[in-house]
Amino acid sequence: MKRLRRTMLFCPATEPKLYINSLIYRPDCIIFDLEDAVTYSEKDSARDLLCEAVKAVDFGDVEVFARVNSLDSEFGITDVREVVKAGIRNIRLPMCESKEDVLKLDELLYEVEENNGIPAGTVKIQCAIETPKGVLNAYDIASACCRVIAISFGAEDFTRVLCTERTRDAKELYLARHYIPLAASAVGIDSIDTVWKDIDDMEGFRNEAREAKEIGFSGKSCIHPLQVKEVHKIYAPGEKEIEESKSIITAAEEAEKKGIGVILVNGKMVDAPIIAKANRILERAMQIR
Amino acid sequence: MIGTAGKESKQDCLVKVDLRKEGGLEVSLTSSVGKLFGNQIRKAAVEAAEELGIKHAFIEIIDDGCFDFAVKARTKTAIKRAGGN
Amino acid sequence: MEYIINSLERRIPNYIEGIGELKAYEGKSLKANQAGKLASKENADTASRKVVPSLREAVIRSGLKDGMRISFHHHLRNGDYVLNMVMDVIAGLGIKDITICASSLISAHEPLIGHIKNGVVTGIETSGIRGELAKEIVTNCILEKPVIFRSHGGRARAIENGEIKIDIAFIAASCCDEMGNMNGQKGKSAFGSMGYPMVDAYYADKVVAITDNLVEYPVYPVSIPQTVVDYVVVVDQIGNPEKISEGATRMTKNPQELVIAEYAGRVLIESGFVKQGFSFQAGSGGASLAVAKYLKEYMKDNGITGSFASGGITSYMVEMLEEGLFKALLDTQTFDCIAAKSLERNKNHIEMSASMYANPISKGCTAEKLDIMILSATEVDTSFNINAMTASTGVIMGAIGGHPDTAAGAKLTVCVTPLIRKRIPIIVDEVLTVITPGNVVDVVVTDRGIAVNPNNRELLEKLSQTDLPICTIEELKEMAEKITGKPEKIEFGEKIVGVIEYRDGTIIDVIRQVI
Repeated sequence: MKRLRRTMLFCPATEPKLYINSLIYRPDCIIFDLEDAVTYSEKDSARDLLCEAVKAVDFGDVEVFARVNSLDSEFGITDVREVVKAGIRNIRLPMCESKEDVLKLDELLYEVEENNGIPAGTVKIQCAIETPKGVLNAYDIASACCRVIAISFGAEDFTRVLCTERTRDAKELYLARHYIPLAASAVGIDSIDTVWKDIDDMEGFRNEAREAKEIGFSGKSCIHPLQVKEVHKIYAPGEKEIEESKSIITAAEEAEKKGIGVILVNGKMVDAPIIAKANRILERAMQIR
Repeated sequence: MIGTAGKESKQDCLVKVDLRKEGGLEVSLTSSVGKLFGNQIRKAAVEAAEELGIKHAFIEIIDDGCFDFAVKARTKTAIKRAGGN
Repeated sequence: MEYIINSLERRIPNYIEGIGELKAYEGKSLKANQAGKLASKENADTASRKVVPSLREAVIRSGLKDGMRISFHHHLRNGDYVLNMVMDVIAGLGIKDITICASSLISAHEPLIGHIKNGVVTGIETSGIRGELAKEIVTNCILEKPVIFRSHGGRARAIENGEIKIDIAFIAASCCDEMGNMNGQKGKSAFGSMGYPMVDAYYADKVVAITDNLVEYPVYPVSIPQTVVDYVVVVDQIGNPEKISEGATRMTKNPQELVIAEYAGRVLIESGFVKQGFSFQAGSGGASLAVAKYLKEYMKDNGITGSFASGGITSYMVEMLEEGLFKALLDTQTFDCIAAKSLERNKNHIEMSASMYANPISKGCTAEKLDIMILSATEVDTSFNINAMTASTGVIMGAIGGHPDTAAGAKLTVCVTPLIRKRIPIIVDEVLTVITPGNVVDVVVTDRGIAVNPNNRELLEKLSQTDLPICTIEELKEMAEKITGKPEKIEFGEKIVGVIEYRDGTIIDVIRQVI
C-alpha cells in the first residue's frame, strides 16, 4: 500500500522538546529543519541534537526527514554525512532548481551510504522547489533519480524571487501550484503543498488545504500541530464517499461473477477507472483507521 | 578551553565544558529533576564525552527536565566548541 | 393551680400539667421607665452590638484561647489578606497552639511559616498546601503534628458530624451588613459563592464576619444569615481584587492540552453519557476545561440540554448556562469574577454549601447526582489510583479539592493528563500519595493513549470498537518510561508530615518527610 504523506510537519531541529512532543499530533511526516529555522551560530548544535535524537527516539510509523542546508553552503555536506550516519533515511533538499542539483546530492549519498554500510539507494530525497526556475524544471527534478520520492512547493522563496508578494487568493502562485502536482504525478511520486504562515487564521489554512487536495497535491506542509489535524480531516474520505465506494465494489464483484460487462450503480455507468477510484478510496479509509 | 551549548529552558539544558589535561571526567549537575534522573543525566554527559574520545573535562550542566539524548547532544556541541575534536 | 404575679401585674400559673413549668415575665414596666421610650426596646444597642472596631477586638471578644481551632475559607484565592491579618493579630496577642482549619491554603498564606516557627500555629487541617509553606512542612518538618488533609466533602462531614469543633470561624465577605448578613457576590472584592464557610458558620461556636464593604441593612442576597454571626469587623481590604480573580477563565490554546481534551470529549460521547438531561463537572484549567469546548459543540449539533453543571464554576460554564445548554449551575466555588456576576443575574446559577456539594453522610450531596466528572492528576498508577497533591519529587504542590468526592459520586470518572510532564512520567507503578482510589476511576485519557479501567468492561468494549488509541494502563506506563527513562525512587524519611483522610474519615495514605 502506498505510504500516506498527507502532512509534512516542520520542526526546528534546535528544540529538544519537539522531538518528543511532535509525535503527539501524529503527522504522516516530520521534517526536522537544519536550514532556515536555525541561526548561523546554532547550526552545529542543531545538527548534534538531530543526530542524537534520531539515535534515541522511537518515531514509530512517522517518516522522519532532515532539511539540510544547501550543499553549496559551509554546512550542507557535513549535515548530510552526519545525519545519515546517525540514522536519517530521508533528506529534504532545499532550493532544487535543476536535475543537476538533485544528482549532486544523489552522488554524495552513494558515498555516505558506502562509508556507513548502508545499502545503496536507501536514503530518499524530497526536493523543495522554491523558485521559478525550479518550477519550470519540476518534471526533470522529479524524475532525476529513483531516490526522489516527493517534490514540495515553497511559496515564500518563490514569490520573493519572482519579486512579488503572497496574496490571499494566491494569483501569483497559480501556475506553480498547479504544475507541481502534474509533474509529480507524471513520475509517480508525491507532491506537497506550501506552508501557510498565519497560525491564527485556521479558516484560511483550511481553504488553502482543501484547494491543495482538489488540484492534486498528495499532502500539505504544516508548521503548527493544530494544522495537522485539519489536513487529515480534509484528506479523509467522507462517510458518503466510503458508502458509495462500497456499493460500487459490490456491484462490480457481482457483475464479474455473472459475466456482465457494463455495470450500473444508482443509475450511473460504472467502468474500470471508477472501480479503481472506489478501491483507492476504501484503501485510503482503511489506512487511516 | 571552554565551550557552551544549549540553553536554560523547559526540557532543555545548558552545558558548559572545560577541557583539561588531567583529572578525568567530572560532572556537576543542577537539575529540577535531579532526584529522579540525576544519575542518568550524568551518565549521558560522560558517554557523550567518551564517544568523542575526551578523557579529561569538567562538565557543568544546568538542567530543567532535559532528555538524555539532548544532554548528550549539548555536551558534544560544547566539547566541539571548546576545540576538542 | 398556683399563680404568681408578673411585672405587668398579670396572674400567671407557674405550672401546667402536660406543658411543664412556666416562667413569669420580668421585663421593664412602662410606668417605671425613667430613661425614655427607647430604653425599653431591645434594639437600643443593636446597631453597635455586633460591629466591632477592630480585628483585635473581635478576637478578644470571641474568647480565643491557646489550643483552640479556628477556620478560614479560600474563596479569595491568592488575593486573600484575611487569614494573614487575623493570624498577625492572634500572634500579637500572644496566643499560641492554634489549629487552623482552612478549606485550603495557597501561596498567599506563606506568612504562616513564621507563625508555625513561633508556636502560634501547631496544627493545620486543609485540602492542600503549596509553595514555600509546603516545602517547609515536607522537607524541614516545621510542624510537629502531621497536617490533616481532607477533601471538600470530608471537611464538611468532619465539621457537621462533630468530629472537629471550630471554636471561631473567621469569614471574609465582600458584602456584609451590621447584623452579619453576608455574601461574596457584591462589592469591590467580590468572589462569588461562599460554599465553604456556609458550613463553618452553622457549626462554629463563634463567627466573625470580616468585610471591606459594610452596607445598609439588610444585605441581599444572603449567603450566610445574621442568625449565626457574632461579630462584624470592617477592614480596608479583605483582599487584592486583581488576584482574587484574573478576569474570565481563558480556554487553553496549548495544542497538547487540546489533543487530550479532544480525546476525552470523544470518550464521553462514545460512552453514551452525553444525552438529554445529563450532568457534568470539570476542573478549571488546561485540558479539563477544554473538554467542555468539545462537549458544547456536540451538544449544540445534537440538540442536547444538560440538567446541571457543578463545581468549580468558570465563566465558560456560565456561557453554556446562558446559551441554554444546561438547566442550572450548582456553584460551591466561583473561579472568576465574570462567573461571580452571574450568581446575581441568573436565578438558575445556584450557590451551594460544600456540604450540599460533597458531604458523604449528609442527606444526599450533588456529587452523587453527577453523570460525568473530569479530573486532573499529578500522577496515576497502574491500579488507577490518582495523586493530585504531591509532585513526583515528593513535595506537596496541590490540593485534594473535591477530587475523591466527585470521583466516587460520578457515574463516569475521567482523568485527563499528559503522559509526561517535562521529563517526568505521569503514569507510574505506584503513586507517591493516593488521593483518589483507583476503583472509582473509569478511564485515563492522555495525549498519547487512553486506558480504561478493567473493572468497567462495558466502557472498554464500547471504546475498543472506535479508532481511539486504547491501550492498557501498563502499556501507557511503558510508553512513558520509554520516552523519559525509568525514574529513580525518591527517598523519604520516617516522619509523617501529612495524613490523607478519605471522604468518610478513614485514612487513605500518609505523606512522609522528603529528605
